Amino acid sequence: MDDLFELSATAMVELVRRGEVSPVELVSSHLAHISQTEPDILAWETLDPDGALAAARLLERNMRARPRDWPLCGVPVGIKDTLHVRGLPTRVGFDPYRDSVADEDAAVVELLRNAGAIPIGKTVTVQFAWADDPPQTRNPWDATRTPGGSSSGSAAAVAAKHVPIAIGTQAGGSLLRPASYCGVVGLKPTFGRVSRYGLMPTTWSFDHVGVLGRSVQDVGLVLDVISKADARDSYSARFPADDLRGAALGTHDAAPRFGVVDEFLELADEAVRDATSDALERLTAGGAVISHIKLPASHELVLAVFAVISCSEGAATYADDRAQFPTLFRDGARANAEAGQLIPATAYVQASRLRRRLRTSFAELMRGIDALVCPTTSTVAPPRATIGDFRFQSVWSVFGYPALTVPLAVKEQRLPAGLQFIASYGNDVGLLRLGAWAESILPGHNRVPR
Amino acid sequence: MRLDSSVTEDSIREALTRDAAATWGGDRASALQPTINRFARSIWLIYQVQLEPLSEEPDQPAVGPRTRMD
Repeated sequence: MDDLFELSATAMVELVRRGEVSPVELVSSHLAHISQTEPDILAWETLDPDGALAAARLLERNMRARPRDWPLCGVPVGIKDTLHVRGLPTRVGFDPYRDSVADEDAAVVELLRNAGAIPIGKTVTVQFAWADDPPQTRNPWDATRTPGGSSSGSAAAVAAKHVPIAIGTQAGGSLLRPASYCGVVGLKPTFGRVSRYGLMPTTWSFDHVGVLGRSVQDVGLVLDVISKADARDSYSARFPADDLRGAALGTHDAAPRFGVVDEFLELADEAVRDATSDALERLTAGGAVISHIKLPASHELVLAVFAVISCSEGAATYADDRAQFPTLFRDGARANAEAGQLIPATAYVQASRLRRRLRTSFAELMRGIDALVCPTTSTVAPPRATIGDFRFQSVWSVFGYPALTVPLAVKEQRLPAGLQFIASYGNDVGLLRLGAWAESILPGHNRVPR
Repeated sequence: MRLDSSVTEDSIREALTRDAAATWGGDRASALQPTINRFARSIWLIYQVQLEPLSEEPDQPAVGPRTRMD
């Protein structure tokens, strides 16, 4: 039972349901593994072993007293330190928040607990989940490389098997990029699908809450739980009650139709481009129909929209913190906070107007295909002085499209890359179905770091 | 700062740099220069697209009208 941490979340749930393993045993196994490997990875901002074990014992009592479906019974989860977990501090990498203990769970944490998941701690984030200041976390595949950011700890913790599931957030590329660099699955759902209530905001126009795991099936299992409209988040939306859990099981009735984003393929380095081309050949051999598409506007224009809106909003959000504690801001966050205050209001409005029009033209891209495909990142994880390239993920965040990355083996490199799928607005169920199908075909998705 | 499609990237950069020095001081303005350069480029780019007015401006969140919560 010492190696329970090796299991998928889906397998853990099955074992608990059959009474073969208890939630306390699951939590204990993960905590023991974390205690051995955390010093080399530094994925956790706060660990709560006592709270996690108490929650596991309470769950065991509740499962006996109130038999019902507990879709995540006993599954340990990590929560990015931008989201509130009752009783734990939300620091967002900012020292003045060191002791700011949350008295309420974020909506996503509340839903996870109600499904039987056990939060065991808060994972490291880049400060304010903003800018490009490197965190302390190491990439489990190579300690000299970045895990990416800003959901750095969440991705590293899943890759290192500290938890089978972690919650991350993404305004630009903060979830998919670290998932790719750490060789795990990352899902950024459609904007509005997962409530942001209890999230320390970076930029409210783009902030998403999503999931990292080691298989599409596992992230689908979790999205099924956390996908819920919430009146406490003004951008929350209602979606049809799709079977997200079932969609992630890997069957696809018709030949999937993918549109390859050539612009990003060309911008990737040779190793990632070759790995992507190889993956596309395998998907074609598996029955996929591939077409090549051109973006209706340059990615640079879309990222300009992102920069103007996100830095205006972030500068407004953290204006008082910047005024009180300027030297406690890290360099990149401080530069964004200060220069962001200089962006004229008319530029913010112009960017918002442009975003509206670009969304319409990008929606046309989805006609006749099931998903767009491109590399998740332009390279494998770079050295730790940076958190990497956010261009390939951020374009889709601007329009709120759901996006999924699955791990990709790169020839002659130990470090993984990722293949990114992007579906139309609201089509998370189709995205999971395609992702699971692709995952079953692509090589290397079950490799693990040493 | 004047902003329209005829304004150059350089003039936006100069205006932002002046504002940075006035707001945050000369030392910080120097430290902010890479960020200012990025913002100047971004602002210039978004003004290169001429936009006709729409009835609903400037934007709604990414959430579509049929799925938006009441």
